[in-house]
Amino acid sequence: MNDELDCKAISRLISDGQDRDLPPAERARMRLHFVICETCRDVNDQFSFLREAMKRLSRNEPPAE
Amino acid sequence: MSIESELAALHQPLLRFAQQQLRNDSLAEDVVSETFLAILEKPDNFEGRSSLRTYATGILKFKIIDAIRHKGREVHIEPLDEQSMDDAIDALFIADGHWQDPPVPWQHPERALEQSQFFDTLQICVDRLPPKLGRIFMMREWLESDVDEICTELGITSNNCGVMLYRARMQLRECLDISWFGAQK
Repeated sequence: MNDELDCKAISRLISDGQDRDLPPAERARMRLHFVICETCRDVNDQFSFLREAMKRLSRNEPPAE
Repeated sequence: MSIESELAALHQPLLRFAQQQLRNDSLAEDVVSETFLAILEKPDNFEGRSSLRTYATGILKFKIIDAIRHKGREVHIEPLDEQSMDDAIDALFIADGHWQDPPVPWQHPERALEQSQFFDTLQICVDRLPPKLGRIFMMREWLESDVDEICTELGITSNNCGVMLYRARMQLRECLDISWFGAQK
């Protein structure tokens, strides 16, 4: 797999994927990487978690005094 | 309780909320005043809603977005120095693109979402971002603005926008890892 993306490129793609729809080819290469790399799979989960947490933060109202 | 006294009780919390987003005390005062005015001008709109706090927060967010947009036009947002951003990211990886210090999975992240202390930690981590990164990240995730809209509003290229969001997420991932999930072990 000589066109394999490295973890650094994948982490950037994970972030980009949260901001726009990735082209199918890029998305496939990212998912291929997740198959073989548990760390990047974990980081993908963590980025998704961060987004969810920010949404909850956004639903959080200012705390009472 | 009259609407005035309810609003009075909300004043400080809303003000702090606005200050965190705008990082400008007088602007924060303005948006909170505008929010109260909007509520008092049309108190009927509020009737039947569950909580004045929720209603006021919703209006305040729109006022904050407007203020950020206005400020974005007035004060040109300097893109971060791309070289220093790249260097900080580079430090996380070894030369062949593998993780220098591979992140480990977080234990029970769903439980964190049930704890208010977690959200305090998250807020601290967001506050620790360099101001420009914090602003753009909050516009994206908290105000849920479209990324193209953010780039246009702030007058930066979409690549720079993407780099800044990436940098913010990487930094927040690390901050939560150290400040929350690492400490939970």
